[in-house]
Amino acid sequence: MRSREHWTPGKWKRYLRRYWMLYAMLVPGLIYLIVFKYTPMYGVLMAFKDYNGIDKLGEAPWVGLANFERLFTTRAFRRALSNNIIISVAKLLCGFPMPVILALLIDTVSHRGLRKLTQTVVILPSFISWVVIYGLLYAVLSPNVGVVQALLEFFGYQGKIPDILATKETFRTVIVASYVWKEAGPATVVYLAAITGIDQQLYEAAAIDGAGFWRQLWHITLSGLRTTIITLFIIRVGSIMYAGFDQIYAMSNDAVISVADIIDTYVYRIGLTQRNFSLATAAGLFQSAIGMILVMITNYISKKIEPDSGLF
Amino acid sequence: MKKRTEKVLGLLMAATMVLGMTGCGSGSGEKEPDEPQVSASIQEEDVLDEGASEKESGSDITWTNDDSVEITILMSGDATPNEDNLVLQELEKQTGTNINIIYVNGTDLATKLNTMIAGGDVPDIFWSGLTDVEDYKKAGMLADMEAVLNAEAPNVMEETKDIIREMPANKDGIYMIPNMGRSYSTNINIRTDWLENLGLDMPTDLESFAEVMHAFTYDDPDQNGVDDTFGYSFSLSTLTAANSCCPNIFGAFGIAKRRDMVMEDGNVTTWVKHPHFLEAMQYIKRLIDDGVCEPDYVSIPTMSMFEKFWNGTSGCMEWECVGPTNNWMPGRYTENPAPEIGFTILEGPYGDAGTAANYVSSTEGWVVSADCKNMEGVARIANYLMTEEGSNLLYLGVEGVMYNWVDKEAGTIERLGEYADDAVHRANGGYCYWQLFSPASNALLRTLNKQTREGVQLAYDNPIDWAYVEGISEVYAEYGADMDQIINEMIAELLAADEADMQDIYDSYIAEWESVGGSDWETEVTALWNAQNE
Repeated sequence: MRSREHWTPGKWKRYLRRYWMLYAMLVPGLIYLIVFKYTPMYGVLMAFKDYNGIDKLGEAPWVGLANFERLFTTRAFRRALSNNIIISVAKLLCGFPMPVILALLIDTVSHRGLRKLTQTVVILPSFISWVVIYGLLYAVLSPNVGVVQALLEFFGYQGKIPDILATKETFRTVIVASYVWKEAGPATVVYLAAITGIDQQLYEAAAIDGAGFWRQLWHITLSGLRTTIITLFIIRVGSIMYAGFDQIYAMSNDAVISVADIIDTYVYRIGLTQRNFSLATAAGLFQSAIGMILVMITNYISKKIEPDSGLF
Repeated sequence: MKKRTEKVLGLLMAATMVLGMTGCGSGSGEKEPDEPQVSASIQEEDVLDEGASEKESGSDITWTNDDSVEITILMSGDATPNEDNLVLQELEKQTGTNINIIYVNGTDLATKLNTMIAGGDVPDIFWSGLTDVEDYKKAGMLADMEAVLNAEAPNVMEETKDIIREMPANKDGIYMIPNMGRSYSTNINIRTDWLENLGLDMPTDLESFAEVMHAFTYDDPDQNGVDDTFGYSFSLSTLTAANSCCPNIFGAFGIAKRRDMVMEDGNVTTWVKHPHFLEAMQYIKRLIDDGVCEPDYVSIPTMSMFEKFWNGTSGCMEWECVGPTNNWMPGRYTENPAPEIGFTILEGPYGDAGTAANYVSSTEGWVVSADCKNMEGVARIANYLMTEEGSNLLYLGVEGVMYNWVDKEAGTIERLGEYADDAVHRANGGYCYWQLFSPASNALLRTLNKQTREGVQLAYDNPIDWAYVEGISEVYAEYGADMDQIINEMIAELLAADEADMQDIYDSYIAEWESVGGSDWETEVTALWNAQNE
C-alpha cells in the first residue's frame, strides 16, 4: 500500500495523467449520486417543518419533532411499521439463502446448455413487472378462473380452492413466495460468478485428500463465497425497511391491506395522495435511519467475524 | 494506435453517460431557467418581462396573454387519446391557443397533481376541490379569473351565472369555474331479455331482486345450456368508491352511499353509521353467499368486471345508465343481437328507494394557475367549450370528419368512416375531454337515446337525501385518508365474515374510526352543516 507521504503533487499529476480515463468514467456516476441522491436530501427538512407542498420549503415553519410524534400516534403508521418488519424479515429469511442454494445447485449442472438454460430461467422473472406478475398469479391461483382450479376440476375435484390472493391469513405468504421467485435471479448470478472465481486446484487438492462432495461444498465453495455473502447480506439488511412498494401496491386490496400495508404504501397514500408531505417525509426518514443503523450494526458484526469483510 | 483508440472510446463513453444523464434530468424541456417570466398576478404589472404581454380591462386589472406559450391542462378520464389528436387540433384552431393535455386515470389524478405542484410545475388548468383550493389561494397559487372572464368569456359568465358567485371558493374573486353538466346518478341495469327468457318480472324490491339474481345464476338465463352466468356484477374497489356499485341497494335501506348523512338527532356523520347500514351489508353478503355475485369481487379489476357484463356473463350491474344503454350500445357488447337492458328502483324494508341525490357541485371546479402565461387563452378555451359547438367537439369529435348529425333535434348522429370504431374515435380525442368546462346542456346529454334519458330521469327522480356540506373540514383534511381507509377495510371484512360476527366487526371498526378523528370530524361537520342551514 502506498503511504501518504509519497504522494507529492508531481506524482499526483503523473498518476492522474496516466489514469485520467478511469476518472473521466467516474464523473457521470459521481454527478448522478450528487444530483439524484445527495441534493434531494435537502428535502429531509420537510420532516421537521409544517410543509403543505405548495409554499417554498424554506418558508415553511419549523415544528421540531412534531411530525414524528404524530407519526407514532397514528394507527395506520404503527400498523404499517409492524407489517413492514414482518414482511421484510420474512423476505430476508426466505429470500436471502435462496440465491446461494440456487447457485450451488446450478454449479453442479455439468451440461453446458442445461446450465445456461437454468440460469436464464432463474433470472427471467426479475425482468417482469409486479403488475404482470400479479396478473400471472391471478390467472394461476384464482379459485374461479385459475389454472390450478381448472386442473383440479379436470381431475374430478368438486370444491373450490381457497382464494389465497384475497385472504389475510395467506396473503403474506403469497407476497414472500412471489418475491423469492422473482428476485432470486440476480443474486444467483452474482454467486455463480463468485463460484467461477474459486481456484479449481483447491477442489482437485481436496479430492486427492479424500474430501467428498459435501466437504468440498462446505470448505471450498461456501468458504469462497463467504465474503460475497456477507457483502450482499449487509446491502440487503440496509434495505430491510423497504418491504417492496411496487409489489404491495400492485397486489394488495382492501380485503388484505391490514396485513400488507407497509411504510412505503403509507407514505405514498398520505404524501402524494393527501399532500401531507411532512408526515410522509418523517416516515421515510425514520425508515432510512433504521436502515442505516442496521447496516452499521451488520457491518460491525461482519468485521468481527471476518476481518476482511464488511463494506467500510 | 491501441492506446489512442482506448482514449477515444473512454472519452466517448464518459460523454455519452454525461449526456444521457443530462437528458434524463432536463424534464420536458418546456421551461428553461432563463425563459422570460410572465406576470402571474393580475395586480403585479411591474414583474412583466420582455416577450410577455398584458391586457387591461380597467385601471389596474391585467392578465397574461402570451399565445406562443403552451397551456397545460391536467385532467382525468378512462380513455386513451393520442397525445396529438384531431379534437385537440380543432380546439387549438378554434381558440387560437397551444394546448397540452396531461390525461391521467382518475385514481392517479391527485397523485399527479400533488407531484406536479410539489415540483413547482403547476398545470395551467386543473380540477380541484374546495379544501385544496383554499390552501392554493393562501399560497397565491391560483389566478383570480374574474376580470379576464368578464372581458373574454361571456359564455362562461352567462352559463354559470346561477352558481359561480355563490361558490365558497369565489367569495373574493373567481378562482373556481364550475362544470354545469350535472353528473349522473347510478341505475340498476338489468338484462330484460334474460328476464323474458326466464318468464320473470322486473324486480321492484330487495326480495324479488334476490330471486331474479338467483335465477340469472342458476336457471340458464341465456338458454345456451351451459352454466356460465351469474346475476350481479360488482367489485370491492367499486363498492368502496362513491357512486358505481350498490348505491341502489344501500338506497333501499335509506342510505346515500359514500355521502355524509344527517341522523335523527340532527348530527351529521358518515354513511356507514346509518342505523340500517349493517342490514344493507348483510343483504349484500347474502347475495355473495348465495353465489349470485361476481365470484372474484375482491380482486377483479373494474374493466374485467365490465367485460363480464359486455360478454353476457353477468345479467345486472349498478352503473350510470349512460354506459350500459347508450355509450356501450352496441359496440361494447359481444353478443349479437346486443342485449336488452332495463332499469328499476328497489324498495327496501322501510319504504326507502333510490340512490344518492345528485346535487350540482359548488365545491369543485376548474382552477387556473397564477403562473399561467396565457390567462386570456384559458378564458377563450372555457368560453368556447361552454357552448354547444365546443361541447360537441369534445364529446362527438370534429364535425364532418368524425361524425355528422342525422337529426340534431333528436340528438342522433352518424359516425364517419373509421371513427365509427369506438377505439379509433377515442384515440382521436372523441369522448375523452368532454368534462372540461362542461355546459349544462352538454353533448353527452343531448345525444342520449330515449331509453337512457328515461333512465337518467328515473335515477334523478328517486333521490336519497344527504348532507352536502359546503364548508371545509380541517379534521378531514388532516385525518381523512386514515378514516376512509378504515371504512374501506371494514366493508371488505364485513363481506368476508360470518354473519354472526358482523356486528362485532362493525362495532370494532366504528370505534377505531371514531378514535382516529371520526368523532372530531362529526362535531366539526355538524357545526358546518348547522351554520350552512341557519
